[in-house]
Amino acid sequence: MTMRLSRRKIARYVAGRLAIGDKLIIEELAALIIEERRERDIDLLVRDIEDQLAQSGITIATVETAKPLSETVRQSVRKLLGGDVRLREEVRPELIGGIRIETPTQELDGTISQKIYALKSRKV
Amino acid sequence: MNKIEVTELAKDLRDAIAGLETSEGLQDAGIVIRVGDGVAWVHGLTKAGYSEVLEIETDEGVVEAFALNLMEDEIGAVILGGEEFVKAGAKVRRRGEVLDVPVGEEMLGRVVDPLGRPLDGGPAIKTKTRGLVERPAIGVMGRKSVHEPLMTGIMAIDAMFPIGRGQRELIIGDRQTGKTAIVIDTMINQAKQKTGVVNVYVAIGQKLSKIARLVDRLKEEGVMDQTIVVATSPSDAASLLYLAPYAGTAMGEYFRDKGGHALMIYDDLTKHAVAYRQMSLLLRRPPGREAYPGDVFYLHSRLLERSAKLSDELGAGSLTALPIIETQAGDISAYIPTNVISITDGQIFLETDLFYQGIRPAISAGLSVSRVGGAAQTKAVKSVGGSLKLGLSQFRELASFAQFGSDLDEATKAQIDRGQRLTELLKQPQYQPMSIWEQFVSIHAVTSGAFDEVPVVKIKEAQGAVITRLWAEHKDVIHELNKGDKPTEEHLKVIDDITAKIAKGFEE
Repeated sequence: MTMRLSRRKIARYVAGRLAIGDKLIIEELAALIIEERRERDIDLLVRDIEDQLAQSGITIATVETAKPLSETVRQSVRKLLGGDVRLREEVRPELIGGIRIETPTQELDGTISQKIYALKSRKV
Repeated sequence: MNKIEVTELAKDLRDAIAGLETSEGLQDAGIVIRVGDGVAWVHGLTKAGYSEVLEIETDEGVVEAFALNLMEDEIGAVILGGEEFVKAGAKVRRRGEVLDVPVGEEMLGRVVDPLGRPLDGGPAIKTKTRGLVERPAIGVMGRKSVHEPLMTGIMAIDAMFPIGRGQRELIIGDRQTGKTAIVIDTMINQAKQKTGVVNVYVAIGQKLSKIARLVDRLKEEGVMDQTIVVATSPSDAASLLYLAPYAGTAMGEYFRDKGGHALMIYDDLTKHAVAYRQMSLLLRRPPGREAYPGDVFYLHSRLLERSAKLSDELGAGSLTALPIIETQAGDISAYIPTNVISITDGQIFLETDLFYQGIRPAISAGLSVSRVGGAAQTKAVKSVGGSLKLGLSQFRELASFAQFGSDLDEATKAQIDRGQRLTELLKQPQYQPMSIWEQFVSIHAVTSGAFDEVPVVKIKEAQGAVITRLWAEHKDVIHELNKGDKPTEEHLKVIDDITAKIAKGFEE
């Protein structure tokens, strides 16, 4: 009976292949997911792969702001994250203001909504 | 309702906003993959440490959990209450520290949960320091041998199985045999004798009505001012039941480390083991014997090793432990009881048969032991304890012959009579702990033979009469005796005179 590979091991292998530009690995991964019935793990696998890519210097980050990003802010985000940065930008007015940057395993939340949440969660 | 100070409120708000931590950079974050049965499985947070506190963001605020299963793909975090608010997809952050609880004199007189939150309706507790819930025990060189007595006030224990400060003495028996009664009397005695020992009573999965009754009794007896009660009920999360004894120990260690003396009571560790078993099974850890996890011994050993007598260099403080274990049908060879017996420095075994015979406290003299023994006993009680123990053990050997009254030789009859009187003498009502001089006088009265002609049923009455008379006429002797030193010949003469006179009045 073959041992079921952990998500982290799969992610490490896939990230290695993606980093050298081998896109065929995506189809192989899809086949593995279907064969092992791990459809529910897809989102987590993607996070793990992005995390492994980040460790090799390719950072995929989601940036959420209340208004569209300006180029200045975009450059600041790239500088903060360092390395080869790919940004996914989302506009969410409910954040009120500030910025939230999410990588697969890290986060910087400087939004007004987070400050309000933090205030509500603490006893005054 | 208190007047709300608007200026104070504005200041508090500004302070809160200023105090909000602004992240200097990226922080580790994970998400809850699934949650249920008090366990949240978290993806991410690869740098989380064992037992580290995690904060889960929910609509109702931050829910705390601590990481117990650090696996390759996910972390199993046990939620500390508020599980119903945690949803899959919730953000999780590391706090960067392990669990700690408020500790200090401010905790005295309060009833709290294992996280230090008040349960007694009083104001929130603000302490200057916090203590780690999990902490390594003091090393060998930081300890001193147990040599100071911790008087329980229960004659049977102080005379035959004396407990010292820094000792771990297990109280073990079936349900409803008086285990909690013994610890309550011990706590009351610390206040009555003004020993300065701080009590920390940890209720693990105890009925809230029982805890409330206990707190009321402690208040009536004036003990509550030097007691901390850490309370968990059966309806609390298993994680809180698991943490309760460790949190209580952290509170006791504060006093120990400052050179003081504290008494830890864990009521009871059987429920603690069951809560830990529940948590471990839900964390998918492999079950062992009786479905307990493989480290159930370590669960209790690391807890009880924190109770110790410190060396003079470290302040000579002490932390004494009275763990309680509930057995089923008197089986002390079961898994958890044998584990804890092998950890502790002795046990006081309570038997159901003795209890229903009216012998209360129902202490089995044959199965109970204190491995510290005479080193932790006052000289006064030590001088009579030997005869007491001998008399009782001889009686036990001959007990089955007691029914053949007329067919026995005089020596055997005498031993049986003496044993019956000693057994009767050791009966003690609840909430009436006895001081050193009372114990000495009572035991001496019987072991010296003064009460040999007093009917067994009148022994307690005669004992009371001797104590009352001595208290009324010889307070100086009492004060000397209460210091604990071996009585002088003059003291003995006074006591023997009074005892003889009283005994004559009770003879048949």
